[in-house]
Amino acid sequence: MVDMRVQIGPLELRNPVLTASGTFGYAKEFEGLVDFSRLGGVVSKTVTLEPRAGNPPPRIVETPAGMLNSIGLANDGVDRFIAEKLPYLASLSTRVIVNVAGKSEEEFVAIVERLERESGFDAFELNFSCPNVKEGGLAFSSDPKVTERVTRAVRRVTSRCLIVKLTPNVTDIASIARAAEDGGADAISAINTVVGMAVDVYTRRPRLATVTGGLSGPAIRPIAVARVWQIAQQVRIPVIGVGGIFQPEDALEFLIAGATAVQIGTAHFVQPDAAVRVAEGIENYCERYGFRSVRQIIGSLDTTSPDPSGAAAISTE
Amino acid sequence: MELCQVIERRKVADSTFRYTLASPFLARAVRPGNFINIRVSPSLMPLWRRPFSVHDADPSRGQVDILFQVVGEGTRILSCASVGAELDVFGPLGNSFPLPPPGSPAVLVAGGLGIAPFLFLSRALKANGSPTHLLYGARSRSRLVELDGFQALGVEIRLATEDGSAGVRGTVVDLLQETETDLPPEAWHYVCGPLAAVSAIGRELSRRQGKVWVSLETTMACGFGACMGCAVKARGDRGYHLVCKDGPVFELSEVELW
Repeated sequence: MVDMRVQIGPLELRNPVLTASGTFGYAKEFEGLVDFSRLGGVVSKTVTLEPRAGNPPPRIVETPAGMLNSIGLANDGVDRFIAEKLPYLASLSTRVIVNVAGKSEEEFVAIVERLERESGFDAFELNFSCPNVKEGGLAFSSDPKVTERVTRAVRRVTSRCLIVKLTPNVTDIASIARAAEDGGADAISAINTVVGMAVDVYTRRPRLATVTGGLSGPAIRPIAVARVWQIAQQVRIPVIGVGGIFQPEDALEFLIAGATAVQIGTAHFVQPDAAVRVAEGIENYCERYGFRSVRQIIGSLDTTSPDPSGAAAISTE
Repeated sequence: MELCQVIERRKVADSTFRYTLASPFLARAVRPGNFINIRVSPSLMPLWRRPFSVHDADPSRGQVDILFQVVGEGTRILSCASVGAELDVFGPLGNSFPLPPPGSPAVLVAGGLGIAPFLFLSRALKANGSPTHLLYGARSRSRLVELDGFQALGVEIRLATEDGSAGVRGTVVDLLQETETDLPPEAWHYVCGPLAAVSAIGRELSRRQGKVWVSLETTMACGFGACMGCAVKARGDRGYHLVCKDGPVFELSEVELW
């Protein structure tokens, strides 16, 4: 029996596998497809203060081992979230993390204050990093000072676990992560999508209505693993690794590189129960290689003696 | 999600295939208008499943059929599956075609591969006692597929081809204009085809009485409302509908197609 529990700030997760925001709806969409009790937790699609219709189509395009999206944070707003989505989320036998976004510091504070009064969820994830909204979005996590200020402002109005989700579309992600830590974040999730673009050469038009969008899927995984590794060395708070995880081995890469937990995203579109399969696979790996706790793997990356043959036997000592 | 064996594979026209899949579950669960999502390859390219409307279903034999044309890498890979191959299938997905009051007439309007969901629908309309007319347009005679199936169900068929090799010369919209006076005006209309065709047909039908249902086709990543990628503009100031979850069947007045 492997101990799969991990700790994200004040929050203990049953296992290190979460669902990534925007890929799992509000969980209801996956009813009957996923045994929620086998997940570490679910992260809701981004909620904003006011309803947002989202961007015009085309909103998605398939790319090599990935996809571009520009949904534009389509959602019904916080009031309808509380009335219509939260009760179902609250009924799940797993941790619930509500992802929120705002156009300004004031909006971030307002939506967190509004939700803080409600019960039925365990943590906030701040979306500082959506590349597909004109206002705010990216700006929040491109500047360490803004990141720290907004994190601190939100920290003052919630006693719940506070996670900040970062964009990779910056020069030095670790400095932004440190700023979030200084502002009082309990954890960092990284990465959000990578800005990308695709062109239809026959019409010479962009393949997304918004021209650029966010790249996700296995295509970005090596970028995400590198970012997580860089961040994990520079902050004391846990890092949640996100980016192109389809298989258990993909998740293990993140854990070994220093992530305390992972989020499964794009894989849900192809395999709705992908997160459960990944959690099972991590457990099997631990069992097979003699780890009594998944925590023994976290940050276990050995950079001192690269094995040129790539065939070294795994050691648990 | 289940693995379904391909039990019959027929090439019905140039780069167009009809597959029969073994699935007692789907055969019982599907309704006309539903679609299924097939993972054509376990690799990451292509990444997404591909949606196919259900062409026909036979609950007694535990079979469902799809009809598809090779248009890209996903359908190309699928077209290489041989009899006995197992496909990773997710469904049934989406809503279905509402039926008219028992005994009242129906007109099906198909452009090209938009014919796909109509064989199964014709079966349901027959059981509903609805006299059914099919207006079917394609580029040429060789592209008109599955006519026998419709004939066997007693559907009255009218054809249009762009090159005039069968039926009237022109598009299905031309056919629709030509037949305006001799089709029952109170009939429920069902439209399926490429978006541009559905839009042109819809515009023509919006001037007539009788309910109009359109089945829409868009790019989809998930097929069950999770990715929100398959948005189509709702009529009026009501944001967007998701083709996979709110559709693929919409009443014409619900969506903004032109």
